[in-house]
Amino acid sequence: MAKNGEVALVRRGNNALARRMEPLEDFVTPAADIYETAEAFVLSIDMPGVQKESISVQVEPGQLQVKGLIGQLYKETTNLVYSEIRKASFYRKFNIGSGIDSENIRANFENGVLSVALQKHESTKVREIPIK
Amino acid sequence: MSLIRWNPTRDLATFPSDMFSLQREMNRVFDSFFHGVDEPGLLNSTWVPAVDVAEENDAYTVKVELPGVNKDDVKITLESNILTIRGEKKAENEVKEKNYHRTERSYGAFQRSFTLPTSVKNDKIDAVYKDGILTVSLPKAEEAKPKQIEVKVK
Repeated sequence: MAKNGEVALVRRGNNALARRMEPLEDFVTPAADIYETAEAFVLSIDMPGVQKESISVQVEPGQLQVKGLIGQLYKETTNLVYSEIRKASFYRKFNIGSGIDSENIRANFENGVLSVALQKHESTKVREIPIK
Repeated sequence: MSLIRWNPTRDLATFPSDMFSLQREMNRVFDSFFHGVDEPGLLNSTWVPAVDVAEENDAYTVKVELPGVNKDDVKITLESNILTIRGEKKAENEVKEKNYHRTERSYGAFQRSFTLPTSVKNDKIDAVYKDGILTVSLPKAEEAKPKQIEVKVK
């Protein structure tokens, strides 16, 4: 993952009250691919039209929350004749297991796709047992 | 009342036609402005990206939602007033033993075509790919721009 594409992460404590105070506006659930490698869990989330500065990736025990606000696609004077593109912002929550090293999470936004790599804890990585 | 043998595929047979009638409805909406319309089922595309069409006095703008596409894999052509945007979204490379838990995103070939109602300046067409959205700007030809007609009072 390129260093220059990294997105700032916000680490949240177990502040359930703060979470409830956050207003949930019109949000759309983005499509996500989830795969696993030997070292990490990786999420690829489609968020086209989102401004990188507006993306927030929050991790707390057992949960990952991803949010991205869509930018202004058109000027006020533009006449939108035909529209299929949804103009809502993106929000999605993922349940993550306990095998994640929460100090070691990287996020990258490129070409409208947010990639989040959750490194596995040493103990959850697959270990080859040598046979003597 | 006689018993009729239930055919589980009977409902399935009507489903595709319902799907196409929805597509026809959408085409009708589209038709009222653009004369031609694309039928995704007939084109060679695996998935259909969402598009927006906008108009200003001097140009048309077509936006296509293409997250995660390499801009070299997108081809835009204009042939006798038919604008075609086609390409392929390739799966992420470096497949070093990935174990997929969930795949929701679309991959493969895509294509959308539009018939433009008026002529555009072919050499001034501009295409920009940013943050997963491809924006194609098509400046209208001079004679296609709306003109103010002055009303003279006698």
